Amino acid sequence: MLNPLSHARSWRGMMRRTTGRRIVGVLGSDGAIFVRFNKGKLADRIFVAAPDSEGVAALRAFLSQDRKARVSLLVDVLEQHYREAHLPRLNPWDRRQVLGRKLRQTFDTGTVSTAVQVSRRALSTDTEGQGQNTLLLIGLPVDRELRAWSEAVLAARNPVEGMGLLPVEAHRLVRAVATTGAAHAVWEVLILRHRASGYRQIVFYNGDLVFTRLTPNMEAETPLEEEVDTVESEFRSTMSYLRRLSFTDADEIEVTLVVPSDIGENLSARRMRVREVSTLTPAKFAERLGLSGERYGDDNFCDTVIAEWFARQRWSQLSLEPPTVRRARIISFAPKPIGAVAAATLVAGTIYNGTLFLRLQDRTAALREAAAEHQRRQRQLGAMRDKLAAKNIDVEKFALSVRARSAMASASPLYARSVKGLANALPENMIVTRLQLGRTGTGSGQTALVVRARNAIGDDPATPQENLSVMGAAAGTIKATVRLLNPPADRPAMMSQYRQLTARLERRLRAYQVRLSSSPFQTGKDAKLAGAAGASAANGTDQSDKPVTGTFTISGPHDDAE
Amino acid sequence: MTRNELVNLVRRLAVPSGVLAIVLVVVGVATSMLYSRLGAINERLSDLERRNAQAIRTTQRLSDGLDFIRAHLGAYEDLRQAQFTAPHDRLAAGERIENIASRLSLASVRYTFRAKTAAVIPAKADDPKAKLEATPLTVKIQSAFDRRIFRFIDALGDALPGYVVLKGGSMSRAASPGLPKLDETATAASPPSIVKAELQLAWVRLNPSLGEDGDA
Repeated sequence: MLNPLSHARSWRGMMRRTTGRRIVGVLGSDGAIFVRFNKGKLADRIFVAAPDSEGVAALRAFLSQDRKARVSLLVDVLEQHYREAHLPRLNPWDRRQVLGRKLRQTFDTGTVSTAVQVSRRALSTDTEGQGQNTLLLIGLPVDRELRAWSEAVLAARNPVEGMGLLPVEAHRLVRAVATTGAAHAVWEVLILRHRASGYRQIVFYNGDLVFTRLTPNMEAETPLEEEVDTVESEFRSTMSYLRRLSFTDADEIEVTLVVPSDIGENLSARRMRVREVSTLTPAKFAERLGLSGERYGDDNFCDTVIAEWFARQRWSQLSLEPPTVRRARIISFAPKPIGAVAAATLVAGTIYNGTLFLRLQDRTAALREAAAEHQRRQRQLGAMRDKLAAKNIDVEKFALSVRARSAMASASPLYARSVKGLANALPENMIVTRLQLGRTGTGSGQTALVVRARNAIGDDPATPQENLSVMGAAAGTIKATVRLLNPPADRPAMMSQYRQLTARLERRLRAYQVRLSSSPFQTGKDAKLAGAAGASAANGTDQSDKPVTGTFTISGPHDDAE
Repeated sequence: MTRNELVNLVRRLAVPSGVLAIVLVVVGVATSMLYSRLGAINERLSDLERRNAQAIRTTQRLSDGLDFIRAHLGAYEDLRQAQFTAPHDRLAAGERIENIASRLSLASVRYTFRAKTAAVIPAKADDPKAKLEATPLTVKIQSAFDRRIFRFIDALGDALPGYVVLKGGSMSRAASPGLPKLDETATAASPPSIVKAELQLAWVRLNPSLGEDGDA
């Protein structure tokens, strides 16, 4: 009988809870019973015969006992209508339009109505309804009495939880008392005896509500046999109706009555035209529902049991309420989201601020460490400055001077070293007849030296530079022609002199490359070597009798190896 | 909605709304206080980190400076003794050259100082520190002995403040008309004939001030 949303509500509704602070009112045609619960226990109950001034006053006084208790109404009046109908499968918008029209056509004005989809075919019609949905149209006329009860409840300041219909809610009741499991049940009848309304018969087929009827209460002085007869007779009428709804004797049917033991013992299944009837006292009924049966030991009616059971349901199966009750329900629940938001804000805010606080602590610790490090660095810096001050040297000026000197040296060969080395290596019998070093000329080369040196310094001349060679020099080459004065007679001896000079130069100028680039005699195999001998000439000399000279090429320094 | 329902709604919403407002205010104030404090600490921390980084860099720079000083103190002393930053006095320098020539008994020394050239340091002169100046010097020497010319070069480097760079030059032996020829008198005992040399030098200094200062 339930649409998918109702399935979810049904499942959640079956989740039991404690009653908390609640008041459940069972409204019937013979009055109303209001039951107040507190901390899971029945705190008080009241029967109000009619919503007249006296009844309303008593009701208000009852409700004022606990203004925070939420009020739920369970309607069990005579005037409530259930009709089966078919609806073609439509899109939600059209379905809503068609359903609304059908409800207006089915029920009179002043009736609050709704529809629920059932999973079975309609029993009250012969058509199969192929390709259509079967609906149960439910209508509750808001008559003067119901309005009076509603207004009396709304006038109190108690929060309102809503209104439901007992036959619709009984879908969950029957599962508690039936012995057949839900998967195998076919026909199930639950008959409840209510003080506020009478005997309520509720018939289910395959778990879906089929129909319900109410037999008003008999007079209090009615004899037991007469009451039993009435119950049986009313049930026989019900069975006749069921047979019109395709019930056959071959069908399984389970009948459960919740009546006092005296009535129950006198009921006859045979007279009721069924194979078997099970009866429960209100106390036993309470136990089947998981409630304490002790407090209902003396009860002859099950209004209070139903009320406690309903109080423990989280949701009603179906809310069918007049607009005033619906608005009151919404108003009652309006603070909840705000409360939830406040709680969520508080929790989220606390968590967030907690993380902020932890971050704050972390940063404070980091700040302390940074401050300690700062002090340490300042001390280090002070010590460094003291060291520098002790040397009485301006670091920038120092670096500038040293780097400038280094750059100048690297930009220009220092011929003076090689010239000095040559001068010191020459023996007395050798003279330099020609010396050539660097470039000749003036003017243009001077500019190039300081510019080259300046460019070698770079963009940050006052910064100390690693691996600086201050006294190094660029490589240069000198050529010196050396003449041997008073040469010996033989040429090997002359060459030996030049070789000795070469060796001396190499010893004095270790970082330089020394080469006798032009020797006095061409001893190479490709060169021309002339000599003479005989009576008119000294051995070994050539006939031109030229001076003995050799040219040395000295280049360096190499790798600044001074 | 009727008036009673409205009153009922307001009555029901009053307390939770008040609680929500209080919660929002409390949480908001606490959050803003924490944020503000966190912001202040972050700012101080950033400042300290910046200053620490600066101190590290400065310390490193000073340490590098100290290491540099230790490594090149000798060279710096040489520079100071050589008066590397002293201004060029060409008159005084000329006098020294003449003194050297007289002391070494050189036959003839002619010297020429030309206009100095300078280069501002560093090359990208956004923040010029100093100038490297070079005064070109040409010296023409005549001497009986080549060794005296070599000694002149040595003495010149020591005599002038700053540094004298021998950039180029040539030396040759030539017999003048009035002197004996090389071949006839060239023995180990007797002095050889006239030696002529021409030297191109650069007299270099570091000028720590960027303006002109009293070079003569």
